[in-house]
Amino acid sequence: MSSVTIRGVKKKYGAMAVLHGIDLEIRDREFVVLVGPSGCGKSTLLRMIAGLESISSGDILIGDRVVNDVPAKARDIAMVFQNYALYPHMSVYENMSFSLRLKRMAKEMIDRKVREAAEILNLSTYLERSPRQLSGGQRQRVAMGRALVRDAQVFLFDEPLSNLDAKLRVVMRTEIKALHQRLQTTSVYVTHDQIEAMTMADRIVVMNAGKIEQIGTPLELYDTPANLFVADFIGSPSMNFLRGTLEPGAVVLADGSRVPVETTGRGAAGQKVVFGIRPEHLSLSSDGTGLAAEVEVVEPTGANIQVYARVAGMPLCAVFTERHDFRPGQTIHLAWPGRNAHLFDAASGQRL
Amino acid sequence: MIRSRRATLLSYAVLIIAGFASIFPILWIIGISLKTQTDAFAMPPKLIFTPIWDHYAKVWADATFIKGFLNSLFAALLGNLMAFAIGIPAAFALNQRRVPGRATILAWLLLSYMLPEFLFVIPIYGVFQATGLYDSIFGLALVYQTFTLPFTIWMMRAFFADVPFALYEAARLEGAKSWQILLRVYLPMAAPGIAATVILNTIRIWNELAIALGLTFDKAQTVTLAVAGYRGYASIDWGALSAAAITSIFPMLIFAVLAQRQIVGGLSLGAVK
Repeated sequence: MSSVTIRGVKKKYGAMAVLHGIDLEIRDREFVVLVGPSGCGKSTLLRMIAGLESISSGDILIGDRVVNDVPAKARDIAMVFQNYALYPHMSVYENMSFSLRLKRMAKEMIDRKVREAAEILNLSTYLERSPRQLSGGQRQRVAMGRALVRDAQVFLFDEPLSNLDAKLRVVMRTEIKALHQRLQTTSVYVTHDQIEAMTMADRIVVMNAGKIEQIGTPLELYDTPANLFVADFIGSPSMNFLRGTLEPGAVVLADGSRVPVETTGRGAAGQKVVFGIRPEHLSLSSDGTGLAAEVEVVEPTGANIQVYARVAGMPLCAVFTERHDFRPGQTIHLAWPGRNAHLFDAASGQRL
Repeated sequence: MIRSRRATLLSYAVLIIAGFASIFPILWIIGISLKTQTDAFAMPPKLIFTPIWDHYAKVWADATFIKGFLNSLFAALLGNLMAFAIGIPAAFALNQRRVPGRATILAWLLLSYMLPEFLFVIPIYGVFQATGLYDSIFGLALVYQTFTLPFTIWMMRAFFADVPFALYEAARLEGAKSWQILLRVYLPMAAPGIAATVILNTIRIWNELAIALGLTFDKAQTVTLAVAGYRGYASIDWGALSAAAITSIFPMLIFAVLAQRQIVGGLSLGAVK
């Protein structure tokens, strides 16, 4: 097991820059998730760590060793691919033992390692099958088994769950996390799914357009997003944003309504700002004061009710765990604990 | 419903006519090979006759024909071996992600595949005379290798392109060297394609006449030349010629029937990409 250090790494394809200088320290035994919309460069970064893409500038270190020019096969890393990349003409056993056979490891040793990994992954009874005889989840596990037998320094996961159906994805998510807790191998996991990131990561790296927007634990990102992008990306349903002008003690919206907020030390009066509040932090104000919102759509999920409403012409979503009986067109008054309110500069998008 | 039934009938009719048209000459030759010379040229044609095996007995006892048959077999084997020894690594290299001028190379291969065979003969005749390769099976196989190579590379490249690139990357990460990836991942996965290409190459070599005519004299004569050999100066031994022709079709026929699934599977495999 090993740390991974990324220092000022850039990637260019011809004139097109894909990564604009990435700095990231992945600690030994850590499970780090790279998350971001498609095209943000997260997969490219992962493939650069793997040695499948060259580095245009900067350094990548595995442990203390700069691996920029070390070929993929000598980096001692294992990777799980999105489409599993199982060898279709080999049995599960042959797939899992491929790397060990290449190393000319003793047969008994290979057998022990493969059976151990199969045991961990519940694949013991499938060892003689060919990949096409397996379900998606089982294939996924074989792909992990292939990584497991190698005792690699680092595990890399490239959107490993995106080919599975929603239900299986949740199961495998838990399995991968449990596996990491057991093996403690440094892992870098790429996904575009923020829920996967939130549930699995020790730390999340939010990427956008070739840059890192924020690095932090899931709760840090949730509680104190560094900018509008992270605030919007993390959490489901997304955070509500209300644009307005900053005044002492409040954000004034376009229609003149005042959203009370703690403003000391946060920007100057007259500044254009974005007020942010998560749907789940909104509650009905008991005394009829608070932010007035006009209900448009009500979606009960059983566990909660999601209400889509409009405030000063801007959309807003609120989630209630209590069962309210709202009607479209009705005006409701919303309140929230002050500590859950977020404030961002409208021009830069940075947190205030 | 009725329309589709009529369409089915029509397509069957077309198929039967086309099938008959293509198989008729072969049936006719089989007929000649089993008839006496008199029966063979009787007018109107004798459809009911007592088959005789004399022509086959004659052909199978003919040392020249047997030698030609074996020569063709060796030339096909050797030509294929050499074409694949070069074609597989070449196709693998061409299938890498970044190959400068790949499109041009592939276009050239296709172009050279389309060149008439006889083009090889004229310059190579001189070279072979000078090097002693003239009238040798090895020399012939060398030329056959040259003229099946573009097709071999082209086909293998297409089959390799069907192997997901992630497998290449996965094998690389697992510590495999290029030749190990080729041998243990690409070749097994492209096996149906290799079989199809071997079959098509072999059929092409087996039926080849122009090159063999130009570059052999008697030692390395191929089966096609041996068949043509029954055409004498003054007369044509139609019975033996037909028996020889049918005999020479046989290996390819068996080959094609046995490997039909591979050919169809292999060709459609290549067709997807």
